[in-house]
Amino acid sequence: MLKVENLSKEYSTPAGPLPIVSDVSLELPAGSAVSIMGPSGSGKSTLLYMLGALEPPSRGTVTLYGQNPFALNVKQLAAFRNQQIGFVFQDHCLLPQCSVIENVLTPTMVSTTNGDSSQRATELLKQVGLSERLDHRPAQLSGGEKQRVALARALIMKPRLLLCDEPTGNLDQKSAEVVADMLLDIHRQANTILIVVTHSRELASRFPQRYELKNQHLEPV
Amino acid sequence: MQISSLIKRSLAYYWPTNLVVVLGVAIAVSVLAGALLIGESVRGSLRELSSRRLGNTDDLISAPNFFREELAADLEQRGQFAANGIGVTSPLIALEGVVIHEPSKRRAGGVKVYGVDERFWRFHGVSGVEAPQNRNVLLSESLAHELTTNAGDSVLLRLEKPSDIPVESLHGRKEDPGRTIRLNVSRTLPGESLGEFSLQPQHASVHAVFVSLKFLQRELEQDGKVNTILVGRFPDTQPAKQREAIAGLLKKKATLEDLGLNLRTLSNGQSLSLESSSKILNDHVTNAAREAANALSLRTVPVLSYLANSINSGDRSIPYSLVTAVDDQTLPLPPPSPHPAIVLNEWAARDLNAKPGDTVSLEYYLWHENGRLETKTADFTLAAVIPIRGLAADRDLVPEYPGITESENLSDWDPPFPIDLNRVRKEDEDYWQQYRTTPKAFIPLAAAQNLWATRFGNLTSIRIAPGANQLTPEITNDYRERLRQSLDPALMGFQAIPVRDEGLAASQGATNFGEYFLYFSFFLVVSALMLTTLFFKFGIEQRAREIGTLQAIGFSDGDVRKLFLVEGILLAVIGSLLGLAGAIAYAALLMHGLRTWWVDAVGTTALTLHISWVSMVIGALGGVIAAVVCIYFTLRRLGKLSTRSLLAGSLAQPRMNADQRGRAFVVAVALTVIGGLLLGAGFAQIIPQIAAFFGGGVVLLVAGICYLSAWLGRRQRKAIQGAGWWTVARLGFRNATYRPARTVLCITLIAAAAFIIVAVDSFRRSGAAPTDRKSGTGGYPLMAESLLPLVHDANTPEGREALNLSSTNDDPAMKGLNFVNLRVRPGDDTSCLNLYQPRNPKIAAPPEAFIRDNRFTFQNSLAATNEEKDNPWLLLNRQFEDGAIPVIGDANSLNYVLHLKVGEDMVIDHTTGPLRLRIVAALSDSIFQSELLMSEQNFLRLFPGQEGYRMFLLDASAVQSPAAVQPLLEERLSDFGFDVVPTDERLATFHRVENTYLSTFQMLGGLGLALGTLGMAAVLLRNVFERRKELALLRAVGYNSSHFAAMVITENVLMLLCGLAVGFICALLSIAPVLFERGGRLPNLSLGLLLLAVLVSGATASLVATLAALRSPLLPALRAE
Repeated sequence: MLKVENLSKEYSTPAGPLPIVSDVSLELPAGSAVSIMGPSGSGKSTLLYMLGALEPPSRGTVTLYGQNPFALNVKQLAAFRNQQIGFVFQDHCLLPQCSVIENVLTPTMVSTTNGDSSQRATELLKQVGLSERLDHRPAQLSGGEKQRVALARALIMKPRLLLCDEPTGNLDQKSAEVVADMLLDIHRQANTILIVVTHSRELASRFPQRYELKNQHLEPV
Repeated sequence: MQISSLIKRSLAYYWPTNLVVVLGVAIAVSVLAGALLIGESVRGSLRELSSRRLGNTDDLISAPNFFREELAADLEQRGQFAANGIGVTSPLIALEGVVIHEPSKRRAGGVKVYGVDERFWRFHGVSGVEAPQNRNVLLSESLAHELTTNAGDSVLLRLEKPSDIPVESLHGRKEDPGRTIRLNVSRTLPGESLGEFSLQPQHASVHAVFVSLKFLQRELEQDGKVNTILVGRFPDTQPAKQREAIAGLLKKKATLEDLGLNLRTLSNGQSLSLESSSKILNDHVTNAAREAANALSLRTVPVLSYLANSINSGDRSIPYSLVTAVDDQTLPLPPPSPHPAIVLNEWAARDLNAKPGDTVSLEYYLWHENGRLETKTADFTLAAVIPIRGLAADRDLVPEYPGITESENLSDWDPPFPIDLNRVRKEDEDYWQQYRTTPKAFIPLAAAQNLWATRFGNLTSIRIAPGANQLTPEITNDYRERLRQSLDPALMGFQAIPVRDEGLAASQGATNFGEYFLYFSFFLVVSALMLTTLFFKFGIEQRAREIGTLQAIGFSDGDVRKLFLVEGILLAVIGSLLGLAGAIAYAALLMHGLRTWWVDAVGTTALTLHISWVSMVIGALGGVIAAVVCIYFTLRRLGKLSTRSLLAGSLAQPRMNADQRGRAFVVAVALTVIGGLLLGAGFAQIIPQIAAFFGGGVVLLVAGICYLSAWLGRRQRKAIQGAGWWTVARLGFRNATYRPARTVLCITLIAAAAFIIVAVDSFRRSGAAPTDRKSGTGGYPLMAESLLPLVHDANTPEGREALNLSSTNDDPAMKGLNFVNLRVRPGDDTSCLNLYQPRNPKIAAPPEAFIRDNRFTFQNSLAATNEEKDNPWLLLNRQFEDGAIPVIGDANSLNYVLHLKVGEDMVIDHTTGPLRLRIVAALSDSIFQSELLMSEQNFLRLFPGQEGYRMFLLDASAVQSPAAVQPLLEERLSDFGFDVVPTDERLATFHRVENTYLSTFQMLGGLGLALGTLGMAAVLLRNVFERRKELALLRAVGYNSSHFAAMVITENVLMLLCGLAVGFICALLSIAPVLFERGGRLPNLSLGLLLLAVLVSGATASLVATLAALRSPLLPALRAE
């Protein structure tokens, strides 16, 4: 269960505090799939990063299965992200120096509970249709393929919360559809909480729960 | 996958950036380890040089007087007494001389002269060298080269003639203390055949001449005698005990003859007479003689005989008579009334018609230590007239004086002082024929010692007689042995010197070249590390998204830092390994520089590269640690950046806000005020000028950087409007504010480097005014040194006469010329001209008049009283309770060579034990950099055996042309090996060394600066890459490559000019006092060219790099936008 209570974020500027997100509250059980829409600069990504414990809120709390990540120390917080949260960014953020499978395995490098991560990585890559490209470098992949690798990397640690920031934003329509299909398919299998921030109404419409960030507030659509 | 795999992948993938990081570390390590290798190489070269030139010599036994050459064999134990440490020995004569090549008249001074035979080469295990015979000599290669001799050429060798009788005593031969020998060059002797044999460590080439031992002994009238024994130790000898072992063995084996003493049975057969070959017994011998006599219950009679020019009474006079003094027990005399008592023999009393109670005066010569012969008179009261028998008939009371005692007739006398033979009457000749050296008068010993005692002793002989018994051969032998045991060869002048150990110790060097080159290479290291840091930072910036991703997927800040730190360490290690090879190349290059471009700094071409793994490892570790520290501080920033900004690919720090800019401006203003106050205080001489101006300059430098920082961080700027190149250039200026921190870093580095390079130039020494009494020359335009000691005072007509200078009295060049004579104890050169660590410094003693003259300027002193503060030379006469001897040295020598401060002590070996020399004052940049200065009084007490004057300051202020004096004196005093040097030239010789060091520093600093400009070019390049989208946009709107070039050059030149201008102007302010001294002359042209070269190369390098970067298509960047 992801529980968000009165989450707010504001930045200080010379002209005074600039609110980005205000009083967002949300409760999502396991298996939830949520899309969040909003215009550019509305604070969607800020909200996502707060949910993913990448950015601390100005006010409010986030708890994932009862654990408030912002109460953890830096080391515990990193471990929390590693174990509990998977990220997919608009700009896939693959390590150019590593092969496809190495990229997928990157989170396992700092994990204490690795298990047979190589086999899982191979399976995940098979799931995203890249079983033939394990040793390829990111530079040898198309945009859609890179995003699929990013998806596999996000799932390698079996996260309870999967956060995607414009996962299809940089893709053509066909690739975007493939990635979206895979995302939802894998989510169903993994029973994670999936939150996707997107501009795309098409992608958003495929999610059972849809929200829009308007005037710093999260409103159901 | 393991983290190690990720690191490997990253290292390989980002190889271009990593390569530069590796190169940066490699350069830093090359420079660090290379500098250490220089130190090791200089030390190693000196060690090798010293060791090679010693051959198999481990220890040296030498004495001021000659001794039996058999002593060498007597000391040799051939394994029988291995514990004594002496394995094999070789006797030789070792002297110093001047060699003149007859055909060309070329001349070489300071030549080491060795009288050797086949034992010398056998001792050293050198085969194939035939010992020189008769007049044939072997020359060292460097001497042969200097004189351009060929085999068969004739050379003249000028040597100091050994004299048992002290030259500075009445009976010492003064007119020609040297000996000239004509020799034929047989061949040159290469270094491997001991051609460069030297017992003193010296880095310069050795000028040596090897003469037949027998021939030299004959020429010096020292048949069968030598003055040196070389000692080779047994391999297992403990060096620490060596000196004591040799001293013990010497005491056991040295005979009285070796010690310069003669114990003879007198003609009456009833007593012994102990005499010295010097004709004077010193206190140690006197005490030992008494001690030995007491032990055997023998009676001693101290005797002091002297030559009176006249014995006068009333109007009568007896010329040239010997007078003897004995103690009261031997000849009881009444106390003075009013004059001391005198006893005349019957002959003299009759001749003078004197009777008891008459006043009898003695007229005699006295040789003053200041080089003057004075006739003095002393009055006595005739106490008695005694018959010529018994003691009064004893001819043996007078030692054998060459030129006097062996003469058949009085008119044949040839003493070393002027006598008027016209005064000799027939009666006097008759007395000589009948009584020879029988004294005509006797005076009390105390009175005689009061008149005639010298620093060499106060007795001419000691009589030893058995009390009531007869003198037997057994008693004679017992006494001889007992006396020998009571005598300490060390106190008789014998020295046992562990030359190999001392050479090794001295080869540690006066100057730590490793340390110097570390300082010299400072900017090179800093620039290399800056380059390393910059590129490592660029690498991180390049990988900002990667860092963000890693953080997002669960890498903690520590994990990321560790990841990059490991990468950095690996790069540093790879760089350091590469740097080790670079270190060897760098050290080899600098050693080549020391042998060629900077040879003035070392004065030798004998330095070779010595590779020490310890130095290499230390350098490599230093480089790695420095690089890792830089990398670590770069990585620290990572924790302060949000994951989100990292994911956005940005490591940019927020621009300086208004408060920060305001603070920077306030700090700049405050520092400007402080700097201005310091300069003002220095100008008004409220605080020491150098500190004030240098401090002020540094403060203003920081202020300048702060101003620039505030200016670059400004937000409100006038809009760039218009068209044309100036507008484009202004855009370039504006680009410099894109990353103000980077720009300020570059400017700071360049400004600091320019500041130091220019400021260091102020240390460059220029010549001193040769007639300024307070300058480093003391106002003496000339100074001279002589191989043979001069005992006459050239300031007196008699002295000039004796020195063959009387004919120059009318020479205008000599009019008004005044000699200041200094005594010299030879020793190690304490100046920067000597690479070896001086352990036994040369000591010079100026006369009291020089001390009162108060010339030269002192840097600091122990002066406590007003008199001492007015004239710190007076400190030389200070007496310390702990017995330390005050000495004055040159500040440069004390600081850089002897590593001593004022108030500190230097302990040297002395015959009486360790001698503590206390530095009481430091002269400021003077001609006395090669020696320590001691009062003449202390010098004569401590080094009585060092006779005459060997150093001269020539006060030629009244002379029309001091330059004309030089050849005249050198020609007239050539027999003394007189060498005159203008003092400004001597000072320039020292300055050349210092200036060469400064040039080295500036050159390496310039290299560092050039490397710094490369870093700056890298910054520009990075800026261009980061702004490719902007540039693409500019291209899209019509900018071409020329516009970009103009922008880049403007930006670059702005940084360079700002850095150079701030550094240069502040440095000029710092060195303002020196500039005023130089008459406003700016630092030298080469320095200006260096800075200009930096400007041009920096601009070119960054332009080329930037244009290359711009050559890649920019429009894709625009599309990405």
